[in-house]
Amino acid sequence: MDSVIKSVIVYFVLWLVIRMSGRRTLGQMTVFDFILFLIIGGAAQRSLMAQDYSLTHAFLVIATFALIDIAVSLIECHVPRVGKILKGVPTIVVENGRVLNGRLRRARLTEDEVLEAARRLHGLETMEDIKFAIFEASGEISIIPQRKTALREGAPAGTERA
Amino acid sequence: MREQDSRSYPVREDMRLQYAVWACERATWIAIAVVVLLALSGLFAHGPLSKRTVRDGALALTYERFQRATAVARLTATITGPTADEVSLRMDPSFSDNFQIADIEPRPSSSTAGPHGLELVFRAPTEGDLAVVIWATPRSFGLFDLTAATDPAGQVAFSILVYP
Repeated sequence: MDSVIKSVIVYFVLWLVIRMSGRRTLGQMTVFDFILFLIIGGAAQRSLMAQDYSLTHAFLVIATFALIDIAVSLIECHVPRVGKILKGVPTIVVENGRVLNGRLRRARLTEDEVLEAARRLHGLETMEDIKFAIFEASGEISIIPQRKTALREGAPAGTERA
Repeated sequence: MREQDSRSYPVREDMRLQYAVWACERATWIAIAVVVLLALSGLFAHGPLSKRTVRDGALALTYERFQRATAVARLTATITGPTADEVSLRMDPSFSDNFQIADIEPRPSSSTAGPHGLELVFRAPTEGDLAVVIWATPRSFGLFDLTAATDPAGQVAFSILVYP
C-alpha cells in the first residue's frame, strides 16, 4: 500500500517542482539543469525504493506512475482548462520583430536565446527577421520568420489561420 | 494590442492563465526558499532547532526532536556522578516499539526487555560521568512521547516528531 501512496505523492511533488521551476528547465536545458534533474531523479528513486529493492515493489512503483500518467493525459484531453494548467500554454515573446519584454522577462528568457533559436531553426540574423517567436508549452522556442509570412500574404484570408 | 492581451494567432494564448502561472511560480520559489531555510535551521532534523537536551536529577538526555523515518539518529544519555558499580538506563516500551536500535556505545553489560521497557545496565566509569550514545532508526512516522529513566534518580519525558 505504501508503495502506491509514496509514488502518488512523489509524482505530484515532482510535477509541482518541475512545473513551477519554469518551462525553461524542460526545453532549454543547460548543463546545470541536467545535473539538477539527475539529482532530483536520484533522490526520488531512493525515497521511493527505500530499502525494498524487490521486483514486486519496483513493479508497483512503475505501475502507479504509468496509471497516474494515463489518468493525467485523459484529464488533459477531456478537460481542456485543466489540461492548460497541467501542460501550460504557448506564449508569444516576439511579435513582428518586436520583443515583448515583460513576457520574455517573466519566462526567464533572454533575447540572445530567442536569436539563437532563430539562427538554429531558420538561419535568421536579427530580431526584425522574426515574425513570431513562441515559447511553447514544451519549453522550446518556435520561430516563424518574416519571409514565410510575406510569401503567405497572397493566400486567401483565413487560410493562414486554419 | 497590449502585451498582457491574449493573441489568437499564430497560437491561441491564455495570458490570464499564463500570468497566474507565473505568479504561482514566484510563490513556489519563495516557498522552496523557506523550506530550505527551515531545513538549515533544523526543522527537518539535524540542526539547531532539532537538537534538544532535557535534564532531571542525574540524567541529561540529548536527542533530535525532529527525525526522519528510516534515518538513523543519535540520542545521548549522560548520567552524572554514578556512585554504584553499575548504572541502569530504562527506555519506555514505546521506544522499542517505534525505534530500531542500530548501536549502543558503550556496550551495556546486560540488557533486558520487559513490560517496563528496555533496561540497559552499564559498568560505571572509574571517574566522571557516564555518557551513553544510542543510535536508533525510527520504524515509522508520527509523534512519539517517550520517557527515559536512570537509577537512582532521574526521569525525563521527551517527544520526537518523525517525518515520513
